[in-house]
Amino acid sequence: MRPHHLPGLLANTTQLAFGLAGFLVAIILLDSSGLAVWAHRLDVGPLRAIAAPATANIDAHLRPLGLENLRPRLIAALARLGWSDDPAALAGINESAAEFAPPPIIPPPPPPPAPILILPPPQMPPVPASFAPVQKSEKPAAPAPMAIVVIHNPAPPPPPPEILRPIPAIATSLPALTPLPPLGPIPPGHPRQVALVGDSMMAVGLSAVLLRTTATDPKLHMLKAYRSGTGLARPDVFDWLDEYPAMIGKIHPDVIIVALGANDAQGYVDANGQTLTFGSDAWVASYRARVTAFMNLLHSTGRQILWIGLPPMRSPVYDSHIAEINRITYTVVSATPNAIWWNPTPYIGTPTGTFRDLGLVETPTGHREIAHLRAGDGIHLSDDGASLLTEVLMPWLEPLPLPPPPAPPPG
Amino acid sequence: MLFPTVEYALFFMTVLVVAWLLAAQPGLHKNFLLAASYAFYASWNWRYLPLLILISLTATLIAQKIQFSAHKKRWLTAGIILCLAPLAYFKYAGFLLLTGLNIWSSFAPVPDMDFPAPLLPLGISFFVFHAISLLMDSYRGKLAERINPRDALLYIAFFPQLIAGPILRASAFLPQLAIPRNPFAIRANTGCLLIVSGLFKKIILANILATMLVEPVFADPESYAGADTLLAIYGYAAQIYCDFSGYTDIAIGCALLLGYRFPRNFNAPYTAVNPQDFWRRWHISLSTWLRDYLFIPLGGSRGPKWRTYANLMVTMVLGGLWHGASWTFVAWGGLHGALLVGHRIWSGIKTPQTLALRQSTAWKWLSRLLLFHAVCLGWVLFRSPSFSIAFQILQNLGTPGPLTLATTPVVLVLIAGLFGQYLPKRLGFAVETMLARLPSFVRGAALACALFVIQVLGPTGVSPFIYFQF
Repeated sequence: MRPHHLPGLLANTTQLAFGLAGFLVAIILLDSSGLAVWAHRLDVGPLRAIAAPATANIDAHLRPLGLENLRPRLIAALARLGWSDDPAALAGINESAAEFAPPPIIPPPPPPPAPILILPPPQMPPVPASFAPVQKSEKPAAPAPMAIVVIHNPAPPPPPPEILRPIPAIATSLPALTPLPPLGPIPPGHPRQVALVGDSMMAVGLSAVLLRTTATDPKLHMLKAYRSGTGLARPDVFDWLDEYPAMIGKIHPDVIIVALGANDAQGYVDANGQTLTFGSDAWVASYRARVTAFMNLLHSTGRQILWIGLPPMRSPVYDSHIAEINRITYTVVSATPNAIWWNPTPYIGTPTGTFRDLGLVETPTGHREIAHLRAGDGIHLSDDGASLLTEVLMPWLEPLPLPPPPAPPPG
Repeated sequence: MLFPTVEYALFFMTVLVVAWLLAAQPGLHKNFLLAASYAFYASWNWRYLPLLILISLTATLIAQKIQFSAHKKRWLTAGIILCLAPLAYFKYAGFLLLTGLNIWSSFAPVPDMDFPAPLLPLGISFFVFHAISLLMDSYRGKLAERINPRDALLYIAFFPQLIAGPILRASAFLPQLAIPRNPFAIRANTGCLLIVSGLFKKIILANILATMLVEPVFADPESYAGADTLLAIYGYAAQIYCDFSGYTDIAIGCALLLGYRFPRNFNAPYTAVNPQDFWRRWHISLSTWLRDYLFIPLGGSRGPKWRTYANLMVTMVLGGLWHGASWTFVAWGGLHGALLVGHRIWSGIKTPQTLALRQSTAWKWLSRLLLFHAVCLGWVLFRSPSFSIAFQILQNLGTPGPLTLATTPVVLVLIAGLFGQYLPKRLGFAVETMLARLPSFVRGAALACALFVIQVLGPTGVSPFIYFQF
């Protein structure tokens, strides 16, 4: 008998309403913290303006019930069984479930830090305390000549070097061609460790081509440290400062290649609850501080950093946002020792620096043909587009051995 | 708005409540659903909303003309051309240009040129197929009443199926829109169970297989030996089934809660014993669409055998191309066409021995196994970004090496994804009967608990459904 022919299996609208009410009550009881975190992570806009205070209020009222610990306990128990895809959770899982605090709506300030001091320029607003690691001057009323940016470096931290440098103003233009500094020869038996770091700009196309190109190469060892859908603007979603050390483990790569930032063209709410609109001065200062913190972390774990700028995008609006991100990352990266900001546009953009979809590529047989350089979304690189970049990167990563000195003339 | 998000849950619950409050006024009810569907589409990219409305309106007006015109065929041809033109432009113009240029490059150097290919509007392949179904059913006289333009627009844009199907038939869905919803006969249990099953398949099974098994191997095949590669191929077979059937389960469940019935789209496809059986179980709404609106108009199996074989090949190759403008999809369609032709030839051999063999249980299981592996071969072409990667994957199958990716979650979800299809169908009915004994409020709470558990078990983040790109 077919189910819908049984009267007991059919509901009426009153029953549907009761069912909906049961669903809402149960989901709010079970996961009010999850809903509050969801609302907090929403993009800045009308939905967030309504949902964030409402869910936070509900969550606060339900906390006495203690149900908010249910989800972290379950996730922790699953991670102990190996059921997790979060590197930080798998690496740093604590044996005691009691120590698992409920997911914070606003990330708490990190524990005692390894300090890095950064001097903001006089024309810049002080780095806001939002971005986790800022300590305000003890006398906020007086103009603070210096903000102390405190970076929490998780995982067994090698003491990061203190960098004391002035911060330049955000660049207004980007270098078209950047020479890559020679990396030197690779000693036999010690493959060069190359970490591939980033969001989907690394995960799609670029990492695949680099991994395939070097799969059987004994001189290069690639380390995968990328995750799609991440960025530096939203540490509440994925915190690179925590996740990168867990991804890379104890290895100190010789080269770190970064392609990151495509998801960062968005406003967000800082730790003080202040809404930062994308592109505003406060947003620029906050985002720049996050890039700086991440660069400091990379600098403390690797020898040479290559930050690949974001390529031009098909959507003009998105492209202008990406240009803003590029200017910030370029400013920070170019002020960091042993770090290069590298512009991919000359290789996969038009001569005028704009987006292009098709371009000439060389097949393995040496035949030159037209191919899509970008994925269908007009954002990511296709494998063919990525191969145009790896053609430049590979000779840098693995320079050809010097020709043997000419034999002395006989006699 | 992806299905497995809080945003969609809020949207759907609002639509559900308002739609049932308006159920006594069918006109308002349908106007509201149409507006909600357009809002759903606009939440992806509002710039393409006019395109959806334009194609729907064009198909509706021409379908009306077909109903009462003496020149039905002319109107039908015009309608199909007008509906297919945007699909051709958005999906295939760049592909055809690229193919032409690369044929040219075999004879002479090509200039380094660019063509600003447009962004593919989400779901265009699906709503164009709905529009063509409206035209064809109108031409074949399957629509008993004069087409109501609002109903036709809602049929094409109805949000549960708008992005990735199932592909509804105008002749099956328009009659549902013509009668008012019955507020005393809602298949709420079936709908909720389908939503839970769909979310389970998508969030847990498909996502874990994608992130922990399939993506690493297909991105970097040379780093994995034969055992891992084989596991990843099986993993993709399970992933694409769980992903797509999960999506359609949620779509069918949402429609049921709103009082509408969608056709079944999957029926345990990996239990199929031959290629024909497979296509009766996999993406059923597409395979029957292709059969009725392409294979049969081409002549079907009415002519000589060679003509039937040619029709099968053309249908499957075009079906492959529908999935994406790439030669790997064409090859995937060609492979399935060849399997169907091969099966027809084999079925035509009717000696006592072959007839006895086909009746044996051992042969059925062997056929099942052979067919599954042939389908997996197709999935390698389907998943690989290029032929060279596909060949690399297949070549790696012979490479000895350790099995490194068979972690506990991967093995468990792979078993669930592949062998879950062998669970008896009465199981779902038994759960539904059990749920029916509970008070409605408790049933709603049970649904919430199920969603909570699914969310805890799934990996962080949700990747888009595979079929959204088609």
